Amino acid sequence: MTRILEKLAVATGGVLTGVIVVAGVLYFWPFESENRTPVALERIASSAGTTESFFLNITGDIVLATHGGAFPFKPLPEGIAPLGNGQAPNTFALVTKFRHRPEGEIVAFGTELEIAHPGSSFLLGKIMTHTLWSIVVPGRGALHLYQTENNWRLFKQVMLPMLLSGKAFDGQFSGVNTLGPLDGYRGRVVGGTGDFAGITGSFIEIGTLRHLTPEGSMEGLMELRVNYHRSTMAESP
Amino acid sequence: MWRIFLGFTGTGALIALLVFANLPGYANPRIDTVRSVEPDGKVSESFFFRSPEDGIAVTHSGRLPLGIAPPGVVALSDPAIDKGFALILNMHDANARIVGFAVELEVHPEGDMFAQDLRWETEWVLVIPGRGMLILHQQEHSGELGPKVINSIRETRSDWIGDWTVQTTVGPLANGRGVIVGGTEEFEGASGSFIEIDHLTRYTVDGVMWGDFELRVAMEPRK
Repeated sequence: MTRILEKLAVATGGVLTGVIVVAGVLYFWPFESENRTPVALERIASSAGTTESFFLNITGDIVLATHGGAFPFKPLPEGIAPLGNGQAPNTFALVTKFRHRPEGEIVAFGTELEIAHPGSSFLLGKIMTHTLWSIVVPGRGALHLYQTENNWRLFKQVMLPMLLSGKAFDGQFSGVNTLGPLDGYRGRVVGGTGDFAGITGSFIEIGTLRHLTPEGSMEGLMELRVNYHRSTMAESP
Repeated sequence: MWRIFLGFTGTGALIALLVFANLPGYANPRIDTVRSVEPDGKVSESFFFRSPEDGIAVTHSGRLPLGIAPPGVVALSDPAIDKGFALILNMHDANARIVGFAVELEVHPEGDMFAQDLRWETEWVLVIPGRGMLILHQQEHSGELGPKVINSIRETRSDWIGDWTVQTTVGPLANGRGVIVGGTEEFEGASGSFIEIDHLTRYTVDGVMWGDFELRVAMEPRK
């Protein structure tokens, strides 16, 4: 009996060791996209056309935020209904105000809408969403921006330590969240209306996180840096 | 013992690789909705909303005859956006199945939209897990909303109850239809037009709208 229990303990220890080894290798594996911030910043800076930034303070500029149940964020306000009545668990919606400078006046409002990306995989260092930003600038029109977003670095450097320790994150975590779909880790301008009608271009989402709790409360700053130009015919941005 | 340990270490590693390969909960099964293909290749598809039961949140400056909900949602009261309006609600297909949710963003014009027929710009974004997001743009008008509904509430201080169906879309296309701006995933590169049809049955004094609404979309065939 003792022998069997010993073998069982060794087998369990073996399984746990195997899981820990794989998780450890993944944690330290240098995925190329983890170093995308300077590449994306340089690519957007060297693009021709008009560059315009929209900032939002988290959570000061947020009007509301909710999700379908599976996103690790605290809905705002408390008690707001989940999206899709349980039929769309992997979705997220944020309504927010925007500024042209972090401390500037409010100039626009809009939404960030997300659907979890089925291409997500820890083995590839990808925790991804399809993300669509819509920015409505009264008097000018609306701008729609699409990106695939990868939060692997955020998970690895902020969320995992926080979840394992149970302690809130306080510090400065920043970088480009955009993964694609354009080269140079840029998102795509889908289209616009009003003054933004007929534009093409690209953008990046730059996030700065200063505070995050295991319950999902957060503080930080988000910038959407948009580069666009007018196009009378379809062309690659 | 070492053989057992190493063997189960390999098993543990394999389990971890399988679990980490595809994140649980990140798949979005596609729901096939009710669509019809016209002889010219256009695809027609409608999306439906019921008010107030599908409503998740609504906000504006606080000056519209419509509540801001749920409690705690921030008003769009800053001067630059105080003509703004945002609505989030669950979305059904023609078989009354929830297929996702939608967001409506509007900027209202100067003037009393219930005293005169005014136009404004509206963006709709439909979010359909497993298919993608579809972006629509239209011009709407207040039309008879003031004379028929809101003014009667203001005068009588009681709910409006009726049965009124109206196409709110008046542009920007010359034929009075709205346009598809584009989309993501399945809707990437989508083009075509749409109309919004509202059916109101009740409008309460405290600003709750009862009825059902349809976005009737016609997508052009892919080239």
